[in-house]
Amino acid sequence: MPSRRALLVGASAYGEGFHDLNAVVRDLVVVEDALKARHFEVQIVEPNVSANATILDQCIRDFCRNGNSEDIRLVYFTGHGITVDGDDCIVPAKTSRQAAFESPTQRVSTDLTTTVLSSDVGLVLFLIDACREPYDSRQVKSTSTGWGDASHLTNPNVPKFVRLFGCGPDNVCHILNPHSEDKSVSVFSQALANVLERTDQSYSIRSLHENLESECKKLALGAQPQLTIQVPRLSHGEITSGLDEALNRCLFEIRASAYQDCETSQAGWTEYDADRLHCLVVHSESDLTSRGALDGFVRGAFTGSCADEIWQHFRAYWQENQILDNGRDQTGFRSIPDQLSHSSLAMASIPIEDVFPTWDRLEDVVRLVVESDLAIFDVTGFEPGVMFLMGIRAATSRGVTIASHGGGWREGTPLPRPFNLTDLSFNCHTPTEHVVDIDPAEIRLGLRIRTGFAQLCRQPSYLDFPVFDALRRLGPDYQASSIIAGKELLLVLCSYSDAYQENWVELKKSLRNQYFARNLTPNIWRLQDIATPQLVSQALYELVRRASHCLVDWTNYSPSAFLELGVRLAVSPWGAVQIAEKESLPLGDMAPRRWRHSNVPPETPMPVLEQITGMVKLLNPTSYQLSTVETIVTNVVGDLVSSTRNPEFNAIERPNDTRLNKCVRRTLERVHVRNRPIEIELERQADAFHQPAKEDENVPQILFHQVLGIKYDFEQSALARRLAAWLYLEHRVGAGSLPPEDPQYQRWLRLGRSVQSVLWTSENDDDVDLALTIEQRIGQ
Amino acid sequence: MKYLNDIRELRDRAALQRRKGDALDKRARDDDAAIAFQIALEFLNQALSLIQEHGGDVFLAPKNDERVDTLLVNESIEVLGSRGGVLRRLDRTSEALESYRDGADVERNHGVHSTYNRTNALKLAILSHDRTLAELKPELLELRNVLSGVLDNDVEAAEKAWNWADLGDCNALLGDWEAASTAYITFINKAETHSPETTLSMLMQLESALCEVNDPGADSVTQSIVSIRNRLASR
Repeated sequence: MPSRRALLVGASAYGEGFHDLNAVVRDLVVVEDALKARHFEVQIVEPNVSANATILDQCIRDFCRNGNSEDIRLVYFTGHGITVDGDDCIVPAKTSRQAAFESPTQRVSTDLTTTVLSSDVGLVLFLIDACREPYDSRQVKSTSTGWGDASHLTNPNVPKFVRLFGCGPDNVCHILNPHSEDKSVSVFSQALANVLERTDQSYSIRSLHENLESECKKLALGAQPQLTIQVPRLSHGEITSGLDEALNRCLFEIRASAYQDCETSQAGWTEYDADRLHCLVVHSESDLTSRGALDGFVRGAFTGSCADEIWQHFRAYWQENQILDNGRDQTGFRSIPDQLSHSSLAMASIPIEDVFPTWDRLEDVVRLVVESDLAIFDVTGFEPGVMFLMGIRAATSRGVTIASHGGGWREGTPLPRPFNLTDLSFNCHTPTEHVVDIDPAEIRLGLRIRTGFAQLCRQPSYLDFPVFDALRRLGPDYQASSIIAGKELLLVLCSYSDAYQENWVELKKSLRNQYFARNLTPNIWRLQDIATPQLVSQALYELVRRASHCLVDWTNYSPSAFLELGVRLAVSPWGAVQIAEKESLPLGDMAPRRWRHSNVPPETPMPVLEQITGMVKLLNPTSYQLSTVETIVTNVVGDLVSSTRNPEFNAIERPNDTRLNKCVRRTLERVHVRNRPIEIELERQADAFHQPAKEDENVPQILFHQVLGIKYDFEQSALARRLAAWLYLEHRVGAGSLPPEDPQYQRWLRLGRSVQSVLWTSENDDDVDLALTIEQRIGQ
Repeated sequence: MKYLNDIRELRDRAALQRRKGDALDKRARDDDAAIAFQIALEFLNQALSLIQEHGGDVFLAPKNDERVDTLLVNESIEVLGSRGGVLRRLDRTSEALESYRDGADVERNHGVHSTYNRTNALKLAILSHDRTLAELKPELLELRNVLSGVLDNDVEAAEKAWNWADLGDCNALLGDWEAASTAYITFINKAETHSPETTLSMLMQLESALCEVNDPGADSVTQSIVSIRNRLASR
């Protein structure tokens, strides 16, 4: 699916000679909203970047380089602009007029033709809302060339690069409400937002330009006082068939308001709304052709026959549970509407290759992963980036999470799967051929989602991933959750493939040597080295959480290792030292590639995964060669034992080490699910042991009910829990004094009767006395 | 429908009072027990009124009449059965018998798998000397056949402990104490741990009633009591 991305740059505060532009703040807001509404993934440049010409220029060019032939990149600038020697430039923030004119390093050319020519990106549109000061127009622009004249471009005939200036050579870009701090906005930017807001219209560059012309005129004439009309200028080379095609290409599609479903955004929801169901889909690179199908299936689940049930189970779960909602003492009940509607869903569909371009983007996606009520991961190819995000999800959310495989795979057929995902039930999103009605794959996904929410509601320890409880249920002992110091243990997460064995032998040997050189002899353990009869998941994730020192080797790109890495970086402020054999990195022979579908000939080379480039850039594994592994291990161990690795000390030196952990923590401040109130927890436990509703017909409930001692034990355990809950409500909550419609009163009454019912049948006189006491309190 | 919830609520409250009455009765607090049983009866009479108000036809409608609400049928069976039990505890035997027989009619007319009222009607008839064991034999045989068929073919019905207790009662009264023992053991395995005490108590009363009239059927009931006691002793 082609990606549409926008880079927004705003410069409002300037140096001497330029007026400050308050309107820039609102310009960015209106343009961002308008572009997101048109399914553009929007990135706003940081202030420190917009104030530095060199970095800004690099940022813009990198942005325009990154993409494929179907992709669209839009750069938008609002600020001051000048022309120097025919070159139309934007001026970064904090720059003085003198500096901008005198030095090329203090301004940024809008001529991106050289960059765009050498990139694979399909089309780059540069929107320039600049040139603001009427009395400076003659000084600002050279009258001999004119603002926006394409003839001075280095490569004027690059068909996939077009500029659209907010004004022409004979006018300037105006501001509406210039004296209002919060209402001032640029005419061109507001016009752009107004035009794009007409979501029943699609626009090419040509039709956008035409509409912007009339909208700018309308805004100017409607302003108080009236403004002189500015005429946006389209700037491009000579018209060729390629350029013509680019100018007519649909850039801004109609937003399908006719759909009965909600909108799906590649950017994701910007704000968590507790009253909505948040659904995230993460797509692999290996199954590009099924992306649309999977998105369609997910939307279909919320419009099809399962939709109501999904909603009711989701709602029922949140009637008994609360989120933290940023407050220790606040009640975090979610007000889920009675009925499902398109406005009660927030959906995001994220291609994995779009997750890792920057830290900000990664943090934003991690936020979506943690906030989602329903997360669906396309695990086709078990790609490292997808596994990484799944690890974060598994560590932070109890459910509902679905792993879905496409690429031609069908449920019921063999699927080799990573070790950590052995227990998972995989969904299939391979579209069915020759479908005459709703695709069975869509129906099946809907059923799966419904069952997930139903079980989440019903099962106290619902799990669809094996990680959540393993990280948390470490036992009540003081030592159970204590940190394991690096001098005791180095936990290593890595591949177990045959191809990796030699690496492991060399690595372990070098680690031992280097630790020994520092008079340290910690255990150096992979999962296989842990001598325990425990379930693998229980043992492993306990150590992932508790070990202060962790080394992750990316070599061979074990999906399990990347899932574990995601878990580690999510839960541990100590982070992980990461290494990778040089050949594993993007340019190496062992770089990971897209999964090969069965219908692709074996001799066809598969592309290297794009996500890895971003992951390497952000997570920065240290590269090594096997022959000289000892060299990097010296540094690795030095790093591990260094005091700067301690999260209490490393916040400044190593900000990225704990970045994901902090992001997760920030998000959980809002969406962490609180422990259930004790009276609810106790009643649910009691019902799981012995359900009162079964009394009428005397239907057995527990396993091995034929063993009368076991049955009696469970009956008594249920009674004890109900009694404890009733006493809590009676003495701690004072539930007996609450109004009859209060849920806690009703629970108090129900529990009181339930306890009585059992106590009356006891042989013990004390039990009967207690039943009488309870009856006096609750009445007959 | 709210009235169904109201009926259920009244029935639950009646059950609570009945259990209270049983507990106090065991402790020789007869007057307090009687009060509890009386309160239970009031709740059940209110439930019955609601049933008659919302579905009087339930008692008279032919089998499988679609006009009759199945949930109401089930509730009426439960209410009539519970009412019979409470009336029996209040020594209002003829009214108890009438309530059980009304419940039995509903069970038969609507082809439900519940045999609670039919079984209790037969047992109370013996206890109250309203009829002899010999006179009731055809009905016992018919009931046993119904129960055997249901338990053999309906998995959900076979999970219900009281059905097995009813089958045990039938076999015991028909003189087949070995079959009765098998059914009672299944009943004990499935039932709540206190339930067998109720069954045991009823069997002892039956044994006593049959002995009073020198009915040879008492032997089978005695054997059944022994097998229940042995099973309970093994826990």
